[in-house]
Amino acid sequence: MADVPAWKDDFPISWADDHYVTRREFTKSLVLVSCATFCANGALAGMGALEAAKSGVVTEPKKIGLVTDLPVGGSRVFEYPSAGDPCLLVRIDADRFVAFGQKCTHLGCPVVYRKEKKQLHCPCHEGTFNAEDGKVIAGPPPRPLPRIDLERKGDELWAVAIRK
Amino acid sequence: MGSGHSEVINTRRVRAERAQGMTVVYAIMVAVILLILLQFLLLMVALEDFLSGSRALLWGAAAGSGACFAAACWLIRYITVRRST
Repeated sequence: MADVPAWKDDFPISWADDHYVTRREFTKSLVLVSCATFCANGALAGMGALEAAKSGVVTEPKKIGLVTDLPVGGSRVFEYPSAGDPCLLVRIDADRFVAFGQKCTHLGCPVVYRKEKKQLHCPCHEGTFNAEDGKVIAGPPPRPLPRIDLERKGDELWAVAIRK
Repeated sequence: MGSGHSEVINTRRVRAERAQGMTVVYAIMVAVILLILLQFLLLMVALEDFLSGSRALLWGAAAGSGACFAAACWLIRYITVRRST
């Protein structure tokens, strides 16, 4: 009894009572969870609509580098049509360049180029795309990768359009 | 057999009504939890649809989630009205 601090006499709060959750409180928290889930679903729908509106905007040609920058079998990431839209430029042969959107069409993981198989590979769920045309070879991706149309102006490479 | 007997009957009736009411309350809470689980499922479907760039199911999932939320609110309101009367 001597160990009990004096302030506990002034504030006699029991932890058991304090932590007790009533049915009414539990029910209120259920409604809050339901509301939060609905808001998250609505936010996703809104973001989807926003991205759909953004993708309808006409894209401008953009210089993405020099031919000499990339060795045969090499690849490089660039952003097109806007910052935050990663794309992958691949030099398949000495004179053949291809570019695709880097986001996998399954869940948006970035794909990487495997030059020994001439494939684009998504390491998240083992999705595989043909590096020639972006079509799905294996794995869960439902659609081909969006293709970037390229134009060569002398030694310069330009991205001119995106085909989804 | 007079007032004592009727008091016992009243007490039993009150207890039975309370037990019945609690059964309804628990049933409603289970229903609300199931609705929330359905909402989580819809959220997962919407997230997968959004990340894949398809966007075909986003509005449908949001509408479904809204319907679940409305149903949960209606059920909860039923509980609070019952409890307050």
